[in-house]
Amino acid sequence: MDFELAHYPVRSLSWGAHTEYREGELVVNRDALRAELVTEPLIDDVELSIVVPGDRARVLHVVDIVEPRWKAPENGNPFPGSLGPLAQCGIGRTHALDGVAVVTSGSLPRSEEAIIDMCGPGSELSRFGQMPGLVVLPRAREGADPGEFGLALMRAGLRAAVFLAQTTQGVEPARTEAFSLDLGRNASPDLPRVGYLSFAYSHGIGRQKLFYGKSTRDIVPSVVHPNELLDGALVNDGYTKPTKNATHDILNHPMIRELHRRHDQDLAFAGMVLANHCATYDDKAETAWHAARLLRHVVEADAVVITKDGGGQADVDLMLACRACEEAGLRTVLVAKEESGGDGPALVDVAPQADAMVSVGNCPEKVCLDESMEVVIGGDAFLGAIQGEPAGTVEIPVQNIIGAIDPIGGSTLTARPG
Amino acid sequence: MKRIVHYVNQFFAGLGGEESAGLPPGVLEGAVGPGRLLQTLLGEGAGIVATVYCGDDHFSENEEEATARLLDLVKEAEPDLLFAGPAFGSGRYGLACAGLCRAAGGWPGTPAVGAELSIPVLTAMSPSNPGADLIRRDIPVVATGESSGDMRAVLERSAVLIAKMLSAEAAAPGNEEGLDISSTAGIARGVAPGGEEGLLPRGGRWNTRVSRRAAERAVDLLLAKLAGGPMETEIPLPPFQEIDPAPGIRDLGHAKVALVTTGGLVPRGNPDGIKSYLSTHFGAYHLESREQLAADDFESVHGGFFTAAVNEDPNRLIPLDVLRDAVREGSLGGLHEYFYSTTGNGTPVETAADMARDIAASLEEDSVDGVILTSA
Repeated sequence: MDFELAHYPVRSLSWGAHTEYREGELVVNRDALRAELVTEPLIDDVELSIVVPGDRARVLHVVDIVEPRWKAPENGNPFPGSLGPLAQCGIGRTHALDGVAVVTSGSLPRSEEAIIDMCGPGSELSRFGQMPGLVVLPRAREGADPGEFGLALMRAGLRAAVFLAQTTQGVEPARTEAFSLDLGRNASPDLPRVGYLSFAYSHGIGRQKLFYGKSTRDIVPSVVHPNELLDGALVNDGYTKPTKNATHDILNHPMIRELHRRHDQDLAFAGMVLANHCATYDDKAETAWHAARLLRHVVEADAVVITKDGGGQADVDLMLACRACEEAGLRTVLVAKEESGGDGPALVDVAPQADAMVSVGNCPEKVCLDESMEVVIGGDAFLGAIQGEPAGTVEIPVQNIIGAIDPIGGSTLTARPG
Repeated sequence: MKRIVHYVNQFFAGLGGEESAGLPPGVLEGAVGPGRLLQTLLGEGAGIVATVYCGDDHFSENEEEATARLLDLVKEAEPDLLFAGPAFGSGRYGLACAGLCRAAGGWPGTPAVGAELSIPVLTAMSPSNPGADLIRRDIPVVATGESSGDMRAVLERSAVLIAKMLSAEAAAPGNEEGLDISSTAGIARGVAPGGEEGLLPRGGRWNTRVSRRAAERAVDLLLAKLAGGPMETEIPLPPFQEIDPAPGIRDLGHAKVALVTTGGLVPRGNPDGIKSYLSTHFGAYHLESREQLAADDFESVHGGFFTAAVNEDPNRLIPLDVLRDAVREGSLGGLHEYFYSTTGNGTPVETAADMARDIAASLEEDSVDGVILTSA
């Protein structure tokens, strides 16, 4: 059986007496949603807001962004392991509310600033500034452990996403999209077999992806089906943003979608490997070797695209994986964000084999957000070194606008000499 | 009609050569010297309403005062744009153009940091002119040769850029290919370095929008690489360098060793302002008679690792305690009286190499035999 996404586009988002989805209009009963979210033991209360494109609104301290998803109970649940019980992802039909975001916000230990602007230049730089958002801002129960509260906040985002998408139960979708399970075997044998190696941020609570609810900190590189990622197997538990992908990005995975789109056109999508960013060099080298082994001998790829999910240390993984794959006879392309502060090179590590790279932008370059805001949600000051009035003009590194730098290739930003 | 003010030195103002280099700032009505040709090239849309000038020596000897006076003269003419030069290879003239431009504005909509006015400015000089290095990150500079032989070609290119900078599109947002999204937003819209008008590159790497998403570009690049045909990486590799290790120390008992770290350890309060990310300089800190580094006195300002363990006991990063023991026991000859520290977090290799050369030179001068290098 294939994986099928049933699409329910959202044209408007508003509060109302009954939570329902009707012909593109998503109406939410605020009290019912709040009651659902405070079932989380570590959450005392939750502030809920709606922001829509064009609003003079800015959301601060963004922790994650989730696309509303729903699955009929007999098919499992939308976020198995992370919210619901373990169930297979990437099989059967899943409902998706398109073009709307559940945004969680919170100030957690060592979190870095991540903002969404709903108007002005900041909104032009991120797709999240261009879709309506339901902002979930929970308050921790007194004495709650900050790490545990971070996980509760993550679950609150997922829970809100399921709550919203439940409204599509029994509603005809605007369209459906099928993703084949039978990768590789049904493509023309003359096409090059392209694999995908996806690194996931994996440095513990608040700085990790969860795979079926399990921390990716201790996983070994694994062959996973790309459709599993499109269907909630990988979830972001990350308040140390901003250039790690949000759950919303993964559910709409631009690289996996691109490989699916071109499957049997100019390539055969051979499959993928999920790996993590280990903490030590030895573990990184081992991870690279295992990833190359799986891509070569299990996925049977001829060539591989590699993406990362983190800052400077992740460059080491990118380069070690590039070298291991090239040595195993696989041609590689790396996708990287850059951290060029001046005239210097853009990456903290390079391998001679890395002769084909795509840039998703230069993180520290500042942009001037000169639109004044009427509403600021999530806090009353920027985190970290960002100076400026949260409601006023601010010069901010582009990386702090969540979604502007997309490590898995969903944006049109790049960096060039100039 | 858009109003332009032109800045020239005494020579191009027609007020004399080297003997008049001490002339104080002044203003002439309309276009003068090279400004006349520029006016012809600009046509009817824009007019040079005033030419301000200053002697090259006068400017370099009284920069602050001369800049202020010139700015007043510029302001009085109420211009929409300031054009300075072309200064070609002339250093003093180039520095004056750079100083005035920086004070007057920058790219359209984006004055240089510290600018007193915020009008669009354009200047022209050779890439080797010291003025060019000073401003090329903040101010559009038309590249010229060393001498005024290519005056006409330079002014032709300048006229095209001036027209673009003054046009309505220069301030309008857009998403077209090549749109620059940096805070130097005006750059977009056809006034970009590397264009056919020959603006000097600003240096470094800058964000730009392209028409296709990175995922699509990555797959295209991979198929091109597989096909073995031409392909173009978006991030060129830096040149690789083989570094020969220094010969080992044979007799540690008579060797003097220094401690160097990229872990960002500094005296509490960070007196040298070492940056936590993209560090550009290092500190040298005297060990004095300390037997170890106390948590009350030192801290790590590194922004890329969890510093609690180091802040609890700084000897974990700079192992002074065990090295003092080693010296006492005689297994180590001596310890250099300073430790050196910077933050290794996103620093480009060139910047790190510059810092390392300075540290190594001073260690050599102090006859240090070996280094223990620690990192976060």
